[in-house]
Amino acid sequence: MPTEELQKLLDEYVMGNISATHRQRLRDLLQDPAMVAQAELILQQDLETGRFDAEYLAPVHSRLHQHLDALMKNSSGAATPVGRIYFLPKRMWAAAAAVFLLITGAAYFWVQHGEKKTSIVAPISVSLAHDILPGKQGAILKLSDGRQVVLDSMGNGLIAKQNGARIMLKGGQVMYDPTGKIAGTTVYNTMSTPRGRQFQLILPDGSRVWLNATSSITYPTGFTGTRREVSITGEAYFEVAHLSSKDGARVPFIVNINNQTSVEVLGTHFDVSSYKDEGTINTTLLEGLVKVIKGPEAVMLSPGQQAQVNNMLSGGAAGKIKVLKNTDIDKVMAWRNGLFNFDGVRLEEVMKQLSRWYDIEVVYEKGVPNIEFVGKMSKNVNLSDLLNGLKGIGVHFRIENGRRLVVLP
Amino acid sequence: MAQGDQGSFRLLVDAYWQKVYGHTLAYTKSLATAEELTQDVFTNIWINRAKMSSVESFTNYLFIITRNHVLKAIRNKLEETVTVEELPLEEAIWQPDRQLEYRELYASVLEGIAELPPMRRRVFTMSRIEGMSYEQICKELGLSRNTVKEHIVKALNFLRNYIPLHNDCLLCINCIMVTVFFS
Repeated sequence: MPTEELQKLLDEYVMGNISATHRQRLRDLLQDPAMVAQAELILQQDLETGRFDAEYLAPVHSRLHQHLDALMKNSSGAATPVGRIYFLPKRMWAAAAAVFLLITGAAYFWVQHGEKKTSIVAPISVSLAHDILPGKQGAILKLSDGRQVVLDSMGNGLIAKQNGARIMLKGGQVMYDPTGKIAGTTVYNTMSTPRGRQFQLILPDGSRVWLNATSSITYPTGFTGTRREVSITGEAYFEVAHLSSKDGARVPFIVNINNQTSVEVLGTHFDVSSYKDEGTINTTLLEGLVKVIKGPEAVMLSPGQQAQVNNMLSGGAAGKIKVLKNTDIDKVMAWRNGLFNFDGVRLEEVMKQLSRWYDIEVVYEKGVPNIEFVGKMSKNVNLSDLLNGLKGIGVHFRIENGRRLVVLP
Repeated sequence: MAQGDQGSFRLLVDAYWQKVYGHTLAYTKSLATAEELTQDVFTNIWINRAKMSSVESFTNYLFIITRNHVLKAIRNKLEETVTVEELPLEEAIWQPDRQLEYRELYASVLEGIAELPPMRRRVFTMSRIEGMSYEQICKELGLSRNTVKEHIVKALNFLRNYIPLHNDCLLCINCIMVTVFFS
């Protein structure tokens, strides 16, 4: 019976050792209104039996009364907002203040609508509790034995040991610390970011990788042999370390993208963007030297250039590799600098980026409005503030069911 | 109460706040959130006190408001992040300063556990230190599942209040050890 399962899951949840899969299952179950009604009854039962009643805690009691006394003094029947009295250890105030400062920066938006150029400053206000928050640091690490570790809220320290490496989490990034001994067959791990998350990783050779939202990278836990090879989906920025083998030869680093194309480097900084819903796979070189390979065709890139390969997964036809000189590097790397750069970007593309970062679904009621943007803004903005900015420049929309954005003509 | 009697309201708060707080803390697992929700519940009741005359059972009314707030908080929390499945506790490779924090936190947790009433201490120790399943604990001690649940939750609630009082370590809230206990 479904209610028994719900009871069991809620028990595990409240007792503090619910597994990740069960937690996901509970989350899914509670999407069903019938299950929500059952959950309400279960919670009510807990209250009725008094099994979780707290013991007397004077500070909590007195803060509660302070809050309510203030409320009663102010009220004459009308609901007046009352300042909260929080219990926060002193140090947490410092953290809270820092976050507040971050989100009260201003966002600048210039939009070119048809022939008019409008410049708008969108001030950012502190959001409501139910607002859609911007994405943040986080990823899922899948180990070779199938175990999945979620990296959002972990503290620093050792995450796991895999063949030949200790996997450490430190200061918001994952590091593969080679232990030197690699036994038997190579073992692969995958790090992936869901919607609304980005993360960074240091590979066993010291190469650094930044993953944008809805992206993944699969890599061995130790690099052996004459090549270093990884594969990615979505978007990643690489800073590949130089590596030489014992006889002095350089060990190339190869990035395999959706089995359609690959990028071969010796030591360099570059970005690969290969989202399935985009028409092309773009490799942009910042410094160093890379070779972009597609089937029999290969192209060398110099810094500032971008190679474009038609994305077969989005229905693109096969074709030659196109090379763009003088790419807008700022725009390509904006995501890593905590910004959206929408310079010369059309509304449809803007919406795609927003949907990945905010984990929202975007639909168009009647075709896509003909609007091109100019300018950049912070990514660390709540969706409602961002949408206020959009409203100001003539984009009309409606939000449905929490996470669905309907763009109106 | 319907006439806006502040004195009666205060008495109701005194009679029921521990029920509401304990319940919200059990399900939200955060001291700040639990206090906030408790304040919200009683604020809600005060603001809508005109409705009280048409309410047959105050406790029922209170419970409905409480469970609705809590369920909303649970769903929000489930939407956020997923807990970590498995974390090896290998002290040896941690940085020395983190090791010290870890040891101090662990000591606080053990002290807290020692302050639990005897049966609660046994149940909690069997679960978290000895790693026994709830079925095993029920069998071993001859307790019902609900009783075991009550002991575990009350122990967790107690430790959530106890540890910050005795341990200055802010980062420890994110510490692996704590997530094993409080996920």
